[in-house]
Amino acid sequence: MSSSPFDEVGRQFAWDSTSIKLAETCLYKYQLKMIYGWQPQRKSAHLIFGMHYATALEHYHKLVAEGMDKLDATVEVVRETLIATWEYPTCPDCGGSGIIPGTPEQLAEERKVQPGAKSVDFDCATCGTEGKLRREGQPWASDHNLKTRGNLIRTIIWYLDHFADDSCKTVTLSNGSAAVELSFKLPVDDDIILSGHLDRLVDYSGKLYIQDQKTTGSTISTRYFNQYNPDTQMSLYTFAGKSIFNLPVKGVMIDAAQIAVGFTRFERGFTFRDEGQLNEWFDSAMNTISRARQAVVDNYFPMNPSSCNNFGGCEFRDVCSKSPRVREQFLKADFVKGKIWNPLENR
Amino acid sequence: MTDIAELFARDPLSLTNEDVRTIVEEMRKSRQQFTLGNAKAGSTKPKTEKQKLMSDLASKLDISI
Repeated sequence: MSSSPFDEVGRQFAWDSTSIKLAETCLYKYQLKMIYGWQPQRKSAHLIFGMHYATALEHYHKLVAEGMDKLDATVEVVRETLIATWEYPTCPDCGGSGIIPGTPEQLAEERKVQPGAKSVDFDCATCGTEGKLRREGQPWASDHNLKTRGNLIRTIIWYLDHFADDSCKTVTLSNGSAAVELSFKLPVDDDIILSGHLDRLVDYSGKLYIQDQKTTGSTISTRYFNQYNPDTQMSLYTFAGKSIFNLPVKGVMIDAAQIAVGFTRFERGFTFRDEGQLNEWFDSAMNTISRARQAVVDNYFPMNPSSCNNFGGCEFRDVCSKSPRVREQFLKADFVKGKIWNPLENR
Repeated sequence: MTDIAELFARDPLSLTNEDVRTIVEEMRKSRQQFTLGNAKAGSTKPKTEKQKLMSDLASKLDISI
């Protein structure tokens, strides 16, 4: 279990790009999301899709780096993603996951049932209660027309096919391990920890980059990649890559996937950061962090009305448009208080 | 339901390695078709009344538009 990212007076000391961006955007939004944990009732299809996509690809690179054949690794990550996007019933006793680990072949051997058998009762994988769960459930039903389960699987397979002969290689770290799935916690000034998760460190034409996966519904042009400079996530990744590995990381290689109804198209772009840009970003990020921490002490989180309409509009725009007197009621109607985002949690 | 749609609709824990390989192969084939220009991109826009009328008519006459 991860420890809290907040100190004894409630000031956040562990910061990832998500929380820095929230504080950069609007301190009121930061308070609603990071301090109180308000979130939409239904998790964004874009977030779910992007998370499964990035996880599948970084796991693929890990399997290949460990020596697995590329086709076998593709089959493995497709299987994992199909399972991860299937909503299994929860255990009636403990409410835990009904997912029973193991391939059909392993389960068939263990339990003496045929692969594909649907009406076999299984033990709960969480509490162990016998025979309460069935191999049932349903596929993840996305509320977005493009970010669907089928398009997710297609995008993973098409990406691996598209970049099958990719000249960019996973870097091997000094301890011999492949530089994939790298969660970092980097202590900086004033007892602040910068944290995050790097998908993969790659060598491309003799230069080192952090690789990151992005998905979009729009056509990918130069303008698409321009949005990542300046950008806190990309600056933090480059900053962390250089500091943690003590290697001359040039920037971030962005493999962007355009998701459409009948196809997925890929484009590769780069965003570079030099020493001066990184120093400037660091000072600016520390200033943002300092302002957010002071806001906790003062219990004053001012709105930034200039950002309400960015990127199609802030999710809290309607709530913020109401009088503070009734705002809580509107929050309760459209949002739920969920688990507070924890930058210290490894992905 | 097509073979691949049937595989997608099944509990993934019951899929064999062969089943998952079939999904991978089918998806690769669809990419090849798309790369060759034989697959349509598709559209999320709902058809207009005129387009609906035309496609109804085309299906009755067994022609493609």
